[in-house]
Amino acid sequence: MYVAVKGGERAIDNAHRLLAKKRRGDTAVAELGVEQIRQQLPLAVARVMSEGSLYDEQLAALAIKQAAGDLVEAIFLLRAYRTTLPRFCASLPIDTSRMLLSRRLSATFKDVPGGQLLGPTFDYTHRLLDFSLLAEGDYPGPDVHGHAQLEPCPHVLGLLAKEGLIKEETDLGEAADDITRTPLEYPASRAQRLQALARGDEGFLLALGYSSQRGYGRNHPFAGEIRIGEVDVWLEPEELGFPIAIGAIEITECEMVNQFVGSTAEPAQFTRGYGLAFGHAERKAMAMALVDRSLRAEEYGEEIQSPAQQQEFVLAHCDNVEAAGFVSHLKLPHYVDFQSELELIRKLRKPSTEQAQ
Amino acid sequence: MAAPLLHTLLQPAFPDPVLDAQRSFRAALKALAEPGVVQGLRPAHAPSPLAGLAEASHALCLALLDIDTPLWLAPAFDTQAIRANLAFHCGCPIVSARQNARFALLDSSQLHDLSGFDLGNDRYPDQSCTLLVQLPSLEGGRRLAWRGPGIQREHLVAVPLAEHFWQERESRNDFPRGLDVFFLAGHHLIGLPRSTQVAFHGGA
Amino acid sequence: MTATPVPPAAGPVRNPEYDRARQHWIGVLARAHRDDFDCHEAALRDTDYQLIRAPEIGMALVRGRMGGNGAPFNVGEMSVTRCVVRLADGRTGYSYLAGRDKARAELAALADAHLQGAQQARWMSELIEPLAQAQADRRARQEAETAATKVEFFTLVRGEH
Repeated sequence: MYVAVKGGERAIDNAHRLLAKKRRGDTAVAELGVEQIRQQLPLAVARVMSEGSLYDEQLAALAIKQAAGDLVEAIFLLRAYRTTLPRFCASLPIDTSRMLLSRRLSATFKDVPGGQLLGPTFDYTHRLLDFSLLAEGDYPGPDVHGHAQLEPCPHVLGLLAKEGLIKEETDLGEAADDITRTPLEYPASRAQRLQALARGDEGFLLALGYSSQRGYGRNHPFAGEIRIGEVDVWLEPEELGFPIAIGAIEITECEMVNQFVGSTAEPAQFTRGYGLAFGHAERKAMAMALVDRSLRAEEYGEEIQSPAQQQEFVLAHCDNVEAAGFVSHLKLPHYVDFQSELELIRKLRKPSTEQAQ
Repeated sequence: MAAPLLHTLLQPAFPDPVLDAQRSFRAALKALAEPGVVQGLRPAHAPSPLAGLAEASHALCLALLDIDTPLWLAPAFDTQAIRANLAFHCGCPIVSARQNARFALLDSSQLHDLSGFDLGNDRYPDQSCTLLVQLPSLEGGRRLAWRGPGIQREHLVAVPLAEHFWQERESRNDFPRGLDVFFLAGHHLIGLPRSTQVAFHGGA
Repeated sequence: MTATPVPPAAGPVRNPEYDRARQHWIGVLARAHRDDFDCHEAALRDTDYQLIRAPEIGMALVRGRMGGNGAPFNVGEMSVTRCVVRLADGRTGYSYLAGRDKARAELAALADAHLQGAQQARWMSELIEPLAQAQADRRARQEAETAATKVEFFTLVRGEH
């Protein structure tokens, strides 16, 4: 029998008010401002922007506040807001070689032109809780040499490419597929895969990248280069007829170098995996680069036998808004579905109980 | 591009870009939900006139077109002012091949031949081309009975159209594939979705 | 900036030098903060103008390149505000700015329009050049901070004297 389920409006209303109360916490403690979140939790903001697929620090900070710090919920909020905005145009591809760097590392060459720039990093910290942060204090910043300048920092893999030791990236001038306009179909192009990975869940990609390092999929990666910094975004509005800069965004770029033993057609050389994420998001960019390389298995004639190499497995499950939505829907009333299963189980058990008697 | 010249052609669009676009979209939605019923746009919420485009046509263009909706223009509408303003306000690509268009702006001289427009496919019938047909008036034609979804019994509608149009439409109506049409005149519009059946044979 | 370029006469002919100059000031205006306009707001608005495109918030799809220099792909969107004004004499000013600030978009569009007029030299020296200088200073400060974290390797010399 079908029983319509209606009601609960008052309960829902009050549940939302209770949530607001929980989010606010003890009112004797000052309320957290959105600008404070933006300034003081920039890495959380970066993750929400990347996976929310909208670069807007203030909105990401607002989403974090509204979600009471649940980043996957904040990502959902930002994705939802994003759908209300019209898309004016696409940018010209950002030129990461002209980044205003705040960090730049290569694990493949010690002496890269421009040097190793550590920037603001958790590396080399001892992961000991810093109890001084329990109190408010001054943070003097680094010891800066007044006029110190950075030397030019060309892309590290360009050096290998010059010698022909690594696969060249090529631009055949084809339009980039857009997974937000045309539904993904398999096999997906690399452009589609990278777009999906860029908005994919950091934890999921991290686990997959890790699995590829542990032997699930041929992969022997080196961090060829990691760059974090600001890059100008350029548009070319038709009505103007020339490109213009509209401001800068912070991004993290990672290029992984992987072995490739070559084939009958090609000499042994290195191959690449690429990661790019909004904001300061090093772990995300590295994981993305590992997974990008794993997903190129077919291109290099490698045997596909591990999850990180399987396009459909990776791309269909990397979006945490979709994943969380489908898992969450299990909380919705399934009273009728469950009744029918319950009845079925009872029916199946009946003969056996009768037999037992 | 003749960019400096473009500047002088550009003109404002909706008085209130967000709300007026929503009002116009609402009118379009109602027009398709109630085929044959005339929907009106309040002059205060209509865009400023653009040479050659009726207010309702202009409003629907502004409400429906964007960067993802290539537009095909009939020769009557293929003017510098219309091209410049639609490209500027909507960002829609203007295409010369009918089959690439998601929307088409037509006048009555085009209605004897609807070939080439995308009818959608069985998987995505919604990807068909929507026709915006500007007419001098929405009345004065032969009264025809419209039936189908959104119409309780039948509507008698007298949009001034030659029989050619109905034949063309019928020959391209292969449900769920087909063409949805808006007829536009002045501040008014009528919707004719592909699901509406129109008896146009015989009779006067 | 050196010579003040003149806008091309109406017509399809473009003047690349003028476009470059305009590209420069549009970029400087885009990087400016809201409060950078505070002391210029009255002067910028002190003219008859029409909003051809009222300040409008939307998105631009950000593209990257595979491997930094390969084929393009879509990274995600960014919020953008744009505006177009026309002054009484027909000059049209444009703005496209990262973020969601309608007031700033309108002021930047007005500045672009003023910069195309007879007062260009004054607007350059009073608005654009100080902003460009402040932006360059900020970049230099950031660079110096990053440079402070550059690794200086010490090479260990082995045993033999």
